[in-house]
Amino acid sequence: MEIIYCPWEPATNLFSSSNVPLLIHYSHFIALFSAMAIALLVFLNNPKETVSRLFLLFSTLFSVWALLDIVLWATNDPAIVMFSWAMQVLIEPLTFAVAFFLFFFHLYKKFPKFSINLGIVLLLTPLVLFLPTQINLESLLLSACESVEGPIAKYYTYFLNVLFMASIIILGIRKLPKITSPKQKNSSTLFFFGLLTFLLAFTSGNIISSFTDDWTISQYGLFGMPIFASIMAYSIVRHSAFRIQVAGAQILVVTLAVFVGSLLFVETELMRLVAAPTFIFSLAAGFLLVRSVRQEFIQKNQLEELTTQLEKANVRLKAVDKQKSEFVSIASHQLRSPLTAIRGYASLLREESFGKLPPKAIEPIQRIEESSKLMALAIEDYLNVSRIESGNMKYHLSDFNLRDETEHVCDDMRADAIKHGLVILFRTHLSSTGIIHADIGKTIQIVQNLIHNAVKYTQEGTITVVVRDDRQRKKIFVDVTDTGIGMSQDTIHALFQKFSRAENANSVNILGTGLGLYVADKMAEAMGGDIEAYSQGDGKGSRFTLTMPLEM
Amino acid sequence: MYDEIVARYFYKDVYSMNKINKHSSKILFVVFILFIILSISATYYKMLVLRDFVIINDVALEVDNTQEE
Repeated sequence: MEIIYCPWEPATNLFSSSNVPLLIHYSHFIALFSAMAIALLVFLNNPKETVSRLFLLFSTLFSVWALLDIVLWATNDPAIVMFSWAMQVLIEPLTFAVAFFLFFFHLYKKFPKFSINLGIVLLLTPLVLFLPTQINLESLLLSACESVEGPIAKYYTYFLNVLFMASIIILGIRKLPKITSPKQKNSSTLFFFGLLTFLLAFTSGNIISSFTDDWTISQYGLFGMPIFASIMAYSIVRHSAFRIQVAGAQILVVTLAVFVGSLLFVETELMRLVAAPTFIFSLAAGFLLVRSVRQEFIQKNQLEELTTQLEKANVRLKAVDKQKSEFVSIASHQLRSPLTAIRGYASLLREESFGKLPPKAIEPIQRIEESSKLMALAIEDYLNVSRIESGNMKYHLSDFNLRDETEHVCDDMRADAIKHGLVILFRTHLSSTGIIHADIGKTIQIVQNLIHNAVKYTQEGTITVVVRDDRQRKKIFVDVTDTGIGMSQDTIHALFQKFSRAENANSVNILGTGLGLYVADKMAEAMGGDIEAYSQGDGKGSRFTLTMPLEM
Repeated sequence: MYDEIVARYFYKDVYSMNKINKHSSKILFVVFILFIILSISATYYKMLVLRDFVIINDVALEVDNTQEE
């Protein structure tokens, strides 16, 4: 049997012949490469996501359709035309059906129920059933090398296309306004319009061509495909919240490569010589770009994750610290009340208010009194820490003479110092009156604390208290210098922290909470001053300086 | 109510019913894909191997007309 061919030269490698208009290669190759590349990128970024898989299937069907279209333009073999045409008739409604499933899954995160699936399959069945028959394609018109379409190809496929598009529109109108999350709503709306424009561009040209018998129109619709595919890819990527920057860079690179790459197929020899190195260069540059964007993305992600963890930890720490302060406050109040009673009764007993004491009982009662006094001081420290940390420490500011108050404190504590075999010396080097604006009670407490510490940590020698000022800097200083155990530089650094005590404190058997200096420093800070510590080293004595702003 | 009774007595629970629904859809699609493959194979065999289709040779008619002239 003699084989009849269409009246033009045969195609080389299925896609090229003199019958193919240049525009077909541009519109089809760019569209199909872009659609496939974008779908593959989306799929490779998240292969387990059903939407990514469906998008890949959708783009593959479209790309096969576009490839068959080029074959149809190029070939002069009627058999290839009939087969390719039949395949196109099958693939087009299948693409629309997949588009429907894609949109449904994008919206509902599940497939439609069985009855809807069955309905779709039943609708597609006539198409599949009559595919090889004349009900689909009647004959081939040799002069144009085109199939004469039967009722299935001419009417039923387009009916299915319109039906699926209508279903997508109905789904969109029903579901989109109900989405509450703005991010998801934007993404789904974008996807909806991307998909609709894709399908419209796909089908409108074919429907017009089918009825006008002018198939040059169908090629124009495909020009929009890369854009619509990009819109859909973007919304899928955004929706899945992964590597937007990386996917964006990849899409940019692939689009560039596709545009340059398509020149290799269609242009003259000279153009190919220029296009080939450009293609290789754009691929290499693109690879580097994508790699750097990916690295930056990973680092940024890690940084964001760590920041979030840090913020959470910070909030937790603050909450724990607040709870601790509250606990200390409650516990201290509970402890203070019975202690007052203990101290009071011990004092009454010592003063023999309940009758004469046996000589053996005097010393134990004195110990009870001293210990309860120490305990009361410790509790006061805890309470002060709790007040400072909860921001409840109240300061009643007024003008008073720091020099006079310091001298009073020295006088009050001198008796205690003498008991320890120490001398307290008081000196002043003032060029001003020594008036400051602060809380008098708190300031006295600070000076007391410094002198008390000096007494505690000095076994022999003197404690010198000097009040001096610096009119130019508008500062007044109280130096408390002792000849005690001294401190190393490391100890000085940690001295004003909570529960911090001198390393050699235990060697001189000194009791203390390690809170006194912390409280004094915080109080001084709150009144615009500070406390500094100096020491030449262990065993070389120490100097503590309280600095306060001077009222001129 | 009816759905609940059906679910309880025939499918034990709604979960199983969903599972059955999911499986029937899967089976449906697998059968349909096989059907499509069969149809494509038939088209391939008919068009490309047997070349069994009508050709309206309007080119030949045109050529004949020219010769007559």
